[in-house]
Amino acid sequence: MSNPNGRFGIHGGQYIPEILMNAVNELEAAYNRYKDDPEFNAELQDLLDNYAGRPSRLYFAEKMTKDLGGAKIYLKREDLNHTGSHKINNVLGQALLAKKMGKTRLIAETGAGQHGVATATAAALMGMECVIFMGKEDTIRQALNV
Amino acid sequence: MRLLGAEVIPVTSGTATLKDAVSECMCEWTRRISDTHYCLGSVMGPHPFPTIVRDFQAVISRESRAQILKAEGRLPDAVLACVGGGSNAIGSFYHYIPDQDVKLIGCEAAGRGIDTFETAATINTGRLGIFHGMKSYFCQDEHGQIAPVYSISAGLDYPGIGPEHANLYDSGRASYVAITDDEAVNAFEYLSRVEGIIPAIESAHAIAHVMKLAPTMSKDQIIVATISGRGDKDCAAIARYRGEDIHE
Amino acid sequence: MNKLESVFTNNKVLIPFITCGDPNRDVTKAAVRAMVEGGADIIELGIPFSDPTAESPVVQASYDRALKVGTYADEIFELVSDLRKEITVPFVLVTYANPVFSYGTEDFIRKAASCGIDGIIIPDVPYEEKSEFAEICKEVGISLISVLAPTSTNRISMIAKDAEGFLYISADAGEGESSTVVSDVRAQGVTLPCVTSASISTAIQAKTAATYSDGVVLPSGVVELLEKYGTEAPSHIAEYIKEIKAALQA
Repeated sequence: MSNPNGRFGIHGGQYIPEILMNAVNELEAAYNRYKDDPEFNAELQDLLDNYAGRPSRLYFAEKMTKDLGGAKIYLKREDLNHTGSHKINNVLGQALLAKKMGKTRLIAETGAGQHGVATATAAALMGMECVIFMGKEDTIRQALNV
Repeated sequence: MRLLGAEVIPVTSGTATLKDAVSECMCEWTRRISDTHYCLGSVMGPHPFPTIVRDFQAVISRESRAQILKAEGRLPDAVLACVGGGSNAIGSFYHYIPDQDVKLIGCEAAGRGIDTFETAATINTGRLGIFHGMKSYFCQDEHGQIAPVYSISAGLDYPGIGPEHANLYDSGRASYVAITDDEAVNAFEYLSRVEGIIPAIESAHAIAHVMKLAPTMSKDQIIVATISGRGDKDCAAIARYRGEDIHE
Repeated sequence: MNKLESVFTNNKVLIPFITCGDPNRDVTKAAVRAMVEGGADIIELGIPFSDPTAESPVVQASYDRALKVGTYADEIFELVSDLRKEITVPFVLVTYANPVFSYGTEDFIRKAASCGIDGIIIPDVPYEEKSEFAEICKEVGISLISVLAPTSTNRISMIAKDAEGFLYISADAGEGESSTVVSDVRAQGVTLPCVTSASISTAIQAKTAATYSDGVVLPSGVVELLEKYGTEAPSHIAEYIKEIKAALQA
């Protein structure tokens, strides 16, 4: 749980250049405005259920359990979501929020490409422009996602 | 991504990996704030991102907690997830945080080992610092220069960890283990072979720890591990790791 | 009035930036002497950082060159101490938060003060996070310089009211926007000098910026000369600074 200044214990905060401060303040205000808004949450839930394919399965890995011979192992299958990872959960929420804020363009970083693919997908769905920044090294090792 | 209509900009500065992509994104955001939203992908960066991303990822543990109660009539003994910035892990942990008997274990990328410089295990090798908008733990040298981290997994190849994880570590509520490239690749192949599930190489770090932990626990205990993503994207890279010359 | 503010009396102030240790500390010393000879009023000394998220590619490359020869806080304190023996022009350190924090914030700022630093700019520390740095700065008499951006709007009065030394209008602002920020500051009744760094590198740009501000920062002009001429740069730097200074006085 974070306190109002975005601290988790001693961690967190807002160590960013002054030029971005109003942007994060605007985002915080918009988030506070919408996070408990029934209409926003209904819209997001609909996207999660019908577009991302939630809820994701909790799968009992019986063979693995037997093979390892100890605790029962359950796998939470975020790999079964649309775009193939958990990243879509966050992206649908943020893209919807950005749309409510009147933004028309999404930018995102990506490492393995999963977040980039999820962001590009949400941008396509919501008719927003999209630019993804990916380390050149990663564009080589994860070429399938580019 | 290009097929979906996105423009992909390869970042060549620094180590040309995830941290440089984050830096470049922050820079781009300063150039065009009015119509642009920076859709940050992990529970990191300046407030309010760590909170927003955590809330949207918390759906993972909201579901899994209800699902395990339905399937087993009780809560698990341990919840495991891989950690880079930490969005899938915080999502997997969040609704279990008040359940003190549920162990929360984050699996970091040790790369070639936490005793080498080729690692991305932030909690295990980093120290407190300020970078990318947040105070948290970072892999850095004694002068406060950010370390060029390494992991076979591009998604975990990041020198920091989200501030909420840093705090869960400080308070002892969660623990963080380091998994090497070798262990992750073994787990990647193991899960594919045994269960027919090809996990992302990121997620394979969590599976690697399941393989260590499960045999030490009794048969009436329960582990829930998150498969954060699928591994199609990694098949060629893993084959290359094993010395096969396969390209997409 | 502190040492930084007094520089602004009857003078359009010229503030060149240089990365310490690019390409080595001896060249930095010679370049600083050349800037003073050319008429610099305040000198910004950049502490190189591995991941300078807010810098231009030119400055990023100079940070890389400086790090390659191992230019860290202690080396820079030694460099500043040496320069202070002969130079009275105010020095302002420009550094990201982590090299300061990782050194130990209090220790870093005390050492900076004792070797003759007058001000410090930390671009990734906005108003909301400044107290952990500002308190110790105040105690040792270093001005923690406040930065304003064209997006600051409703934040200007809050930031300006406890600013010290001068107000720094960040390089991200274009020229038109920088002048708007200055008039917004004045409209708040704030009299502290305003300097702008809106991508200024030529004499004409500097002269234009000086029509609405109290001084100009040269964010990369000196660094470009170092990149081009390396160890031979100092004489070119003196000429360059002289030219800009003449334009500001004309």
